[in-house]
Amino acid sequence: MSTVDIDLALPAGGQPLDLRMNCLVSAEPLDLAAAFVATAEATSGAASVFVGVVRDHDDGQLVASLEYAAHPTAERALLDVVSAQAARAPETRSILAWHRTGHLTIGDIALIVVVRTAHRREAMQACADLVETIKHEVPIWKRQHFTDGSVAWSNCP
Amino acid sequence: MPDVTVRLYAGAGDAAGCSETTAPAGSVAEIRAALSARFGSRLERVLACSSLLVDGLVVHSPQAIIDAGSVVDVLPPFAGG
Repeated sequence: MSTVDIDLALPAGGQPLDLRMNCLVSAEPLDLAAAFVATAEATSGAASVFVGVVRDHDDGQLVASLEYAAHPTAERALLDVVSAQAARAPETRSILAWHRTGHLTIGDIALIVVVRTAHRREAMQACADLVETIKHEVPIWKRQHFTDGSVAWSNCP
Repeated sequence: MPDVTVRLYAGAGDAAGCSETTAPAGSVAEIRAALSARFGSRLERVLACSSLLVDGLVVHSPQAIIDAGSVVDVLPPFAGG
């Protein structure tokens, strides 16, 4: 796990604020309650949470299970993405992004993203933006096992 | 001829039937062509949409020269989240 605590000074001076970033790529099951607690931060009034869950269909086919495979740099890439998001949204107080790898079944949690900020609009926007960026920029791949016995890597010819 | 190591991730490894191989040093375009010739059109299609890391750094240009001893990672389109 990559956990980074950064002290930031407000642009106009004043009290430095802590920014917590917590990133993980792991084959262990993801604990949603633990993710929420890990981001706890007293100055935030809003926490936006995204949970990516394994679903039972994709593009018209029924999915039995799937695997996520990660490049060795995936956790570093996740931290880079989270850092960039924090830089775009300086009111952010705490960000968490956890992605699971290995074999998952329907209903399992694949991804947790938590963003805490002072107010709700920023929290929800930052969370949505971060999820999109993670999907595009973190080197993780998905192989789906369909109920008809076929197996295919997503997004790949 | 001195070689580069090529690591084929996810669908690229699937298309090649192996997760690691070697190729003669040369340009990105030459290495792609050599791999396509050896492993076939499915890998060629995957290579066409994959990004490449050379010794951990992203390389975009087909003309970029990859030296012998380098490690090239073939990264198909991501599908996390």
